[in-house]
Amino acid sequence: MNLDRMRRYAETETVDVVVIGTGAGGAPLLARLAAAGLTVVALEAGANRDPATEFVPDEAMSADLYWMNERVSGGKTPEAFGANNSGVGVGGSTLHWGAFVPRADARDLRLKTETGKGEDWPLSFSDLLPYYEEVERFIGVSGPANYPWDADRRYPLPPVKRNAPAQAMIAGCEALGVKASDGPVAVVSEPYAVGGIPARVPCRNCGYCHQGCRNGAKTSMDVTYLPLGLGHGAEIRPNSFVHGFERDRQGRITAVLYRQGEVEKRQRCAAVFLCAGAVETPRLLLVNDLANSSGQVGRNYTAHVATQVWGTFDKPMRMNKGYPSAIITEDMVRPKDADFAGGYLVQSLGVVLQTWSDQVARGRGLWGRDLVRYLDRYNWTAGIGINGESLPSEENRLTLSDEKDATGLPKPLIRYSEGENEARLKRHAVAFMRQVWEAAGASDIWVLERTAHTIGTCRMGTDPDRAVVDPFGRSFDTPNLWICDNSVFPSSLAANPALTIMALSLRAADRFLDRAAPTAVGQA
Amino acid sequence: MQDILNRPADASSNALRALLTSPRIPERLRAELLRRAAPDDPAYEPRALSDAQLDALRALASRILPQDGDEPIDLAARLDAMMAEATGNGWRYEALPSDPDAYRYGLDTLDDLAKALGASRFAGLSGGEQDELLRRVQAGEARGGEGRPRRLDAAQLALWFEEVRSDAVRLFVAHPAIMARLGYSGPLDGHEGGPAFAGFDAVGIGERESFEPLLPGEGAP
Repeated sequence: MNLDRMRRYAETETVDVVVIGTGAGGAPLLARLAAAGLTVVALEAGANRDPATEFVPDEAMSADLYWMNERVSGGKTPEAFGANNSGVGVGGSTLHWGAFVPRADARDLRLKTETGKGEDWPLSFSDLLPYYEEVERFIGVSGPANYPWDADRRYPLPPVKRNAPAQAMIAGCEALGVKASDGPVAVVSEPYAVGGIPARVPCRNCGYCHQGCRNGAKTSMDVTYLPLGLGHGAEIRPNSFVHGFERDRQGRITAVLYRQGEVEKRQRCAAVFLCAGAVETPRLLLVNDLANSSGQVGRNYTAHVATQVWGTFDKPMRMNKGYPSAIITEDMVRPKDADFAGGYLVQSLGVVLQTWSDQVARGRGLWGRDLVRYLDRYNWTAGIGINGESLPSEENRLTLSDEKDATGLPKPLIRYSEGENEARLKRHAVAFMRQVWEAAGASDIWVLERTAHTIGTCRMGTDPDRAVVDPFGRSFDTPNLWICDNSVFPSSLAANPALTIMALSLRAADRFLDRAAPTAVGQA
Repeated sequence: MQDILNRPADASSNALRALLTSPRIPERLRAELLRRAAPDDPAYEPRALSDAQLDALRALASRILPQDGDEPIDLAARLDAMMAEATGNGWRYEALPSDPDAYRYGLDTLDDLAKALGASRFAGLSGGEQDELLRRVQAGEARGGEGRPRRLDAAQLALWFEEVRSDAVRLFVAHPAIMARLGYSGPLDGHEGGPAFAGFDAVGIGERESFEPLLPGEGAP
């Protein structure tokens, strides 16, 4: 994005707020706080990019969109990081995200009350609703005129074009009597203009969302909240890796320490919003022994169950084309025959060639002639996949390893093991997706086990002994430190996290500004 | 580039030429695809691995991705270069050492396992014997490196074999000759980014843009 005419602050000036990270957590609140007249500086570990000239439709050439400092992944179901879920750069993970933006289901926020398992969130759906509506309007969400699972919901733009996997999922669900719909997608399907930022051109169905959008149709923070923040006088400093803090005798943060290349720098500030994601946020806190009197930092690391089912069709699908996951069903958020707590969302899947081939070689376990023959079927295949609840567990934990990475900090060690609830949910989901794909006419069906997203490690709550931050994201220990990213989630929810992160971001900013929450248009 | 574009006009080189010269590819990507399409050096000297490890990796790569053409891609050399540049993927299994060490220890362990079968090294086994050994590796049953330094135990070997499959197949399908053989249209999504970005319109089942390669069973437009 263009940073040329940005306002700049001196490092010696005590700015009102330093924001660490410019993704879905940091960007909305940056804009909100700057608009309120606060002096705000964002420190971003990654580079500033020019999407129109730098992004290309090729996975191997897109590696610099991802957090590539090595993480160590253990436990019974070790999670893949890098391209799977971890971004870097001005815009954070929204540069590579899939832009699929379901709202949280109200029942998922009260899972413990409902089932005795998992955790309740220390807020209700009606607290989130006005922020969901505001975010959806501002970032430009495309979706159906009538959302089958919520009669009051309205999206500002019509759906994106259905690609071949989307058509297959609609056909399969119709045959089974399952409700399926165009999904809520943060990609503008028509020219879109909102106040305070440049107008955006519509999606051209290229299919390479995960390698960075080449025309800004996909919502990323660098085409939405960050330019809004800049317009209100915020500063964004790319290539600025935060590694420490200065504190006064009361424990309040007085300055943020960071490195630009080889140069050590220090920004004085009155408050900090830490928005670096569920791996870098807890790592920074653990390294600095900060905000952890509860002992909860790093605990309850969670990833969504993200199993996929793949099949081969009679007609060419060419699934590289089109928005990759255009169709949703929420019918499985609480399946009637479930033997597990929570539920899952289902979406259609088109995957580009290098990513798909990797999944085939790893997940289907093919090699030799079998692998070569199956790769030749690429243009006839399509997938369907879930995003499912995964219960938090104290034992799933991020700690600091004995090894150091290129930043000089200890590499994070993440141990993650799915439990019995996840195994049951997965069994249910695989049986369901197989039925849909068989009904859609797929043959040679196979299952890809995977997990997605990074969640937990600094959970919010009302009890300082059991949580790291309060229900608005403010640290119990360090009163001028706020956390806003997926690390504050007390539980995974079935929904993909980014829309909820953005909603929480605006809510945290309003709380910081001591403002009342806005009122929702739709009904809770 | 001239070599690639001036080859005799058979179906596969026509498809490759069409991909590399398409006006719809962004120039940054075209330059990279041409680099990938350049023939491998037959005298490639390994940078991360020993000569013996490179031999074992060549044998392994040809079992993972057998290539029948007269210009096979030297996946082992490309994997060695990947290890030498240590361009990792942002994470590794706790159970494995760093990627380059996992390759070194894994390949040495394969040679050990081949010796236990009476061969001089992994590359000295027949193709069928290599496949049989790799099936045991994949199943986590190839014991031999247990408790030994700079070797992988059966569980590690299975994880490492997964890593090699992943690394090898990503290099394989990133080669423009393979994209062309599959009729892959991903790189053709538009020369310019920004407001002029072209993209695709025909994205439904069985729909094809005029510039996309015809697939077997599809008639000419």
